Amino acid sequence: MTLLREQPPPGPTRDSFWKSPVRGPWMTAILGSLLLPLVVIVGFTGFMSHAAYNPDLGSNQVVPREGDLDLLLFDWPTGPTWLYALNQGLHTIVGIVVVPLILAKLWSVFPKLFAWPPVRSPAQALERLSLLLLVGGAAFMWATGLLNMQLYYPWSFNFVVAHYYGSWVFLGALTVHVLTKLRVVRTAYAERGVLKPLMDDVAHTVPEPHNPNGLAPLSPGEPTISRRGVLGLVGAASAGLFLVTAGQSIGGPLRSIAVLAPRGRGAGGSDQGFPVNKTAELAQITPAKVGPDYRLKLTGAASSELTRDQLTRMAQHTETLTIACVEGWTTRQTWTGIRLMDLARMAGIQDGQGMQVISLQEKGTFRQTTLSRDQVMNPKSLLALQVNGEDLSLDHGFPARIIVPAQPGVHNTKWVTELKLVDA
Amino acid sequence: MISLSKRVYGESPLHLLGQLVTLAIAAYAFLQVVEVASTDTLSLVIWFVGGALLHDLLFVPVYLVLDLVARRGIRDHARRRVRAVNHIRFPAAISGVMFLTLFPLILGRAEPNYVRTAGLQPPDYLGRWLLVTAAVFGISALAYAVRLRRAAKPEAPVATRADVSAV
Repeated sequence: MTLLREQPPPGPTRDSFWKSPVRGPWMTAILGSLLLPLVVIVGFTGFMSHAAYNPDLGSNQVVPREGDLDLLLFDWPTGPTWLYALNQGLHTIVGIVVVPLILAKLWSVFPKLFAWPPVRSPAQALERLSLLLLVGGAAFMWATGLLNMQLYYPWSFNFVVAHYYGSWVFLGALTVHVLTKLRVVRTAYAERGVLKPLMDDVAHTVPEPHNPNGLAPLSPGEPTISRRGVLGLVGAASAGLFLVTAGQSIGGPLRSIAVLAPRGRGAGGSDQGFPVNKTAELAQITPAKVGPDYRLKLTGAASSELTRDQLTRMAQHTETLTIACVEGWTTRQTWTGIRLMDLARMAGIQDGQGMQVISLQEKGTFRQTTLSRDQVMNPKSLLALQVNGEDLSLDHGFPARIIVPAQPGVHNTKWVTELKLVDA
Repeated sequence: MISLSKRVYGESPLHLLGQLVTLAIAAYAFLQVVEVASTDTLSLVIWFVGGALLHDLLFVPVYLVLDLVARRGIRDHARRRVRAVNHIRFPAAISGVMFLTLFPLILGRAEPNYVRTAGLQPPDYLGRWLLVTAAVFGISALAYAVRLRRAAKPEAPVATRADVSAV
């Protein structure tokens, strides 16, 4: 053991192997300080999205409810109408643009991976295990999240469940990591100043002093980039990612430059000019199912069946509402149809009741959804028959679809066949 | 008590408690996912550990070696003090991180899924990424040329002072 300690094998286990003159406690502290608030935003919006699905209602839950502590359950609000778009915009945009910062943070501490001896004490062994949870957790969360956005699923587990509980592992490890490292960060800032090292250009970049087992190099090379240059490099990579992806969420002129977003430029929609997230073909909706035999079942204290003609003769209302997908893309359209409130009253809604919406789609997690009472009774919530003045296309949910303000896109059920009042 | 813990454990008792909290939460979360019928535990473990291993043993070594090659291989202009290597680093980082983040889209890995879900053919993402890459390298080359030109000019303030004192 003593021998090991004195003589690490040649290579990355030796302090002299690492040359970067800008690595050091301050560099890691500033990268960590920038990263933390952004990760908090991604984590917070993630849990908010979990709550937005109202998993305590009906069969809305995707993550099994047993075992879930439901610390964050509340009735998801119905306004402002862009609330879920904002939430998922933040979750996905910040999630994407933070990637270079995560990579830089890991680069800054990379020599630690080869610390010699590999295990110095029980404390260090445990800490290394927790760091595997932290780094593995980060890699897992970002890999699964980014791949899900791109509809790529090369794994054998449920994305939603694994992404949800993965966040417990990652955020748990992160919390303890931050608390453990607070002192190191404070010391680095006290010794070098919080922003002062950013004043130096390449010529004035001086390595931080080396400590055994520390981050600053023992034998630093000639600087080729300043510390502010490192942050600039990270910022440039983040800005690049923002420009090519964020437009699919934010819209406006940014949408036309979102060239690498799954639902950005030229990937909007072939159908009625806005994206489809599940085609009729995929949902196995045939024209026969939505033909003259189509009936909307209204189930409650006063049940009835309505043809589409009867639906079109009811009082119609028009609302401009956003569909925001959990994967981050948004589309804002003008919808016309019957207020859910009116249909609920027709069916005899009582106190403590919400509405289960059932689709003609026969299989799939989201063939049905349960709306809260607030969602049903919101005057903007519609059973839409038209979009932008024309009948819904089959891919967009003809004969009728749900549109409820501020809720996750996938809960705006298409091809509605039954509205059922249920306790909720 | 604290000194005993430092000697035997290596850190304060608070450190030990913190690590145990992390491990317990992780174990709980792991079991929640494993209990779901559709979970393949091996796939889950591979994805959890695999990301860290891929990053540490492949991704970082590759970019560190590429950076070393760039630093050794690119010689700065003899007199003009502009770091040429950073004009490679910036566009390479922008384009590289884009590829790392969006490779399924760029390589069309989920194209059948995309077509079935969205009901349309995806745009030519590979072509777009190559054009973006060309653009960032081009902008960087332009910036390098401009900086070299500027560095070639005699430093104005010094020259002015010399002129004044000469007069």
